[in-house]
Amino acid sequence: MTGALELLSVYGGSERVAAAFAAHDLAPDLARALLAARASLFGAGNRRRLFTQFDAILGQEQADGTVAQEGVQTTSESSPGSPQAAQLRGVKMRNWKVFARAEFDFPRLSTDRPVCLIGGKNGYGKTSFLEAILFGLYGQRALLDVDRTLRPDAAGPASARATPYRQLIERAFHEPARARGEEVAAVHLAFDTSDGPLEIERRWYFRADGRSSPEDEVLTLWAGDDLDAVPVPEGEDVQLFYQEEIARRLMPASVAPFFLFDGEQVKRLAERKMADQVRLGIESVLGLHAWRDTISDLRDYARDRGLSDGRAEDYARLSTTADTLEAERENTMAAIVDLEAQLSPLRARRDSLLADIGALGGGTFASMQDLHERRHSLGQQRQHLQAELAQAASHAFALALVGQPLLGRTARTLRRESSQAVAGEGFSADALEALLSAIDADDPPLDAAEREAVHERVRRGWARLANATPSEGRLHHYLDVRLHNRMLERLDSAPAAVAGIQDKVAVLRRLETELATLEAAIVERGTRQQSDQDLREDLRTVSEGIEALEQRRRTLDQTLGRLKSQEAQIAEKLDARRFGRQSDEPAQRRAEIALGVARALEQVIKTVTPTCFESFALAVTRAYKALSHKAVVDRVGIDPDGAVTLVDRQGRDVRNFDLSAGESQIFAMALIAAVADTARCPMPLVIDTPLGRLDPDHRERILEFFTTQPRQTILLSQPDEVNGRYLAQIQHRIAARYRLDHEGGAGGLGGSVAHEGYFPTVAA
Amino acid sequence: MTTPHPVHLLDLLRADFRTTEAADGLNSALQKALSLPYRYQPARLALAKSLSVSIHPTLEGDLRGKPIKGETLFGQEEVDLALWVALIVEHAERPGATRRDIQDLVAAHWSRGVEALWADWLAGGEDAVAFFERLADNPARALAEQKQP
Repeated sequence: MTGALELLSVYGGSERVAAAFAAHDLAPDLARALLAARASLFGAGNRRRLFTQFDAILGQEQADGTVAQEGVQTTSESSPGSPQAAQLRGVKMRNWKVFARAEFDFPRLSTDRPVCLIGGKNGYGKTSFLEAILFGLYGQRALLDVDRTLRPDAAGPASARATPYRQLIERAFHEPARARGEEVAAVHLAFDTSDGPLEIERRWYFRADGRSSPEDEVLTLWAGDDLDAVPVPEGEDVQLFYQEEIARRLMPASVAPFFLFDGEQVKRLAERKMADQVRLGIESVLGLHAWRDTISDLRDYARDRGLSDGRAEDYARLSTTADTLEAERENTMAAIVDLEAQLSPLRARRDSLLADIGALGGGTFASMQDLHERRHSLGQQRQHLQAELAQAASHAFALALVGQPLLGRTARTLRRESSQAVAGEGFSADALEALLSAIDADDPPLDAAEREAVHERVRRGWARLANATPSEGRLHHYLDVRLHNRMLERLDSAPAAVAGIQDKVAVLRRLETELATLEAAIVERGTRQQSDQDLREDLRTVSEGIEALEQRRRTLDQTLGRLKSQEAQIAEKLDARRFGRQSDEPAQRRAEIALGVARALEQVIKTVTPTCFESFALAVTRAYKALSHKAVVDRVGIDPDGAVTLVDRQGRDVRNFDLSAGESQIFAMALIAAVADTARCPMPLVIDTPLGRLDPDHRERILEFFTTQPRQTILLSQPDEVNGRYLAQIQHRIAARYRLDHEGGAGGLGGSVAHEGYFPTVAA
Repeated sequence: MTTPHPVHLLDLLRADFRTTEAADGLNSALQKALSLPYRYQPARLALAKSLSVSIHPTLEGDLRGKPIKGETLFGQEEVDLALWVALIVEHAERPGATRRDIQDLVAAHWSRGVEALWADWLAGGEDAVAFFERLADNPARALAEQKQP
């Protein structure tokens, strides 16, 4: 199919696609030529002509590696870029289904009024209008692609599917016309493209018995301002060339179902399992089946061109081996990725443990010992000080404790009694005798009587004086006065002991504080020592885990290396066959090349597909968010199998909860919108019965979405569908209105006609 | 009728001193609490504590506490004994006190003092250093006041 390579580049990224082709030694032009050949000869009954084309293309490849151009219309020459933007300007139908003759003219697209509204009751021709465009553009191919998208159970060889198309066309012939004996049904479509006007007409001729055959179908294209018939290259099949031109200038048939569709089609999409729906949608938009069909045709070609059974088997075996090796390699790589995923957190844990252990500091044991020694030493100091304190307290300090009043009083008493004692000592017998001798020696001497009388009187007086200071009169008479001085010294110095006690108390206080700090340090160090042990134990476990995983990783690396080397050997053998180095006979060499190309194409598609799904998922996400009134879905994820996840902001798949029928339908619409949006060809959208069975809020959103696209949008509505408030909603965006009416003929042989205007407006 | 002999220091060196059984119990408890090696140490502190109070102590109860020799209670040196006896006599203002008088006075002071010290011990949070700190506090304050002009 023409354009398939361009489509692939759009979704897969042109650089990635080019790289994939390069990686598999496949020239894009060769692929393009093969695809074009297959597309141009599609439905041609048997494949003789296709295989002849393959002969030419592969023969050229075999000869010099360049793509044969002769006899093959390649898009690389005639299609410089993507399909062109286009709008539908007119549709004319003659004897097509319910219409005997109908004409619709649509104004030039203005982006603020992109909508054309066509109203019609059921059976009045809405579907006939839609199918006129579809079959007018694509003929048999339309049916096949629609089938493939929506009815995969209808799969089968192309030739087997030709019959339903004939039956459909024969039934589409306007019944009154048949009755009148007319022979022609026709659809005429007028487009404005960025290359200028393009008009397409397809006529179907019917024989008297109402039958039609492929040869009875005529497609004609006119283009340019003068609407000249599009020239056909010499030797080219006119019908096939025109068919290709439609795909090239407008859009490929495979994406048509996403531009031209009805509510029933959406419903069918919605009811399918999501994965199939999405996979088919993406495959359709990419035209992947065109690639697959080409691959299949290439293999058939190889068989047909007589590749000997032995060689074919040899090739098949090599291919199978290559596939097996690739699968093994992919499994191994997945296992490595998985291992790395396990290793990464373990390594982070190990680093963190090492950092923690480092932070605890080394030499923990030595520090601990120091702390214990210090504690012991301080403890001893304290014990010693306490003993000193006790000793001091019970001696000098005890005296101080008595208090200054009593100490002072006692000292005063002692001093007084001391002086009294000294005075008392003066009246001794010796002193008396000395006094008497001194009196005797005085002049003039006394006579004996006088002397006796004087002595007597002195002795009495002495005795009185001596008796006046008795020791019994003192408070502390029991003390020897010789002790007084030492006692007074003690009493006077006692208060100084208080300061000594206070000093010792202060030192003890400091010691106790230091000991408490030390105790805390010892406890903390002990905890850390335990932590250190725990961390080291953890580290050991983690390191063992890492070692085990790394061992497995090394084994896997070896396996991977072995697989790659085996793959390289197989690839070399396959290449040898592919480039025809094995066979002597040219036909067989071409057949071998065909098999190699088929295989390379398969690989390219496989490589590019995941990226295509990713970019497509982004487009579906955008559309889904615009369409769904439930703001729960944050992201649509699509994996290469087409499995869909509708992820909310919390990362949960909301499909695990529930998805209503309406939501499914919205998803289908989003899929359609995404295809239309992502395809780089702004083609008109033709939607039959767009609102179907949607709930009111979704109706508004669907209408809003499809009527604000920068593309022509033709809505085919039932009387009560786009009407009332929905009509009011899009009123200002409508550029043209038509109404389909029935004009009855006798015997039910009437037909539909188109009038300008719309249904009477019902209350909003 | 015999008149009582005034006390002689030498008699007191050899004499036994006791207090009540209850006070002696507190004395042992305080000795243990303060980790003091000898019984005389809390006893001597108790005497001092009581002597710091000017009111005379009165003794209640019989003297069934364990005895301490005078030379142990007051000190081996004569001057130590002389000092303590002088303080007790001075406090009692009792001239001509007999040995028995001195023993009774010691018993009363010891009892009153050890009760006061035990109260201090409890008030200090049963902490030895805090106990001595509080004990030194009063004489230190008195000293400081004395030095003030």
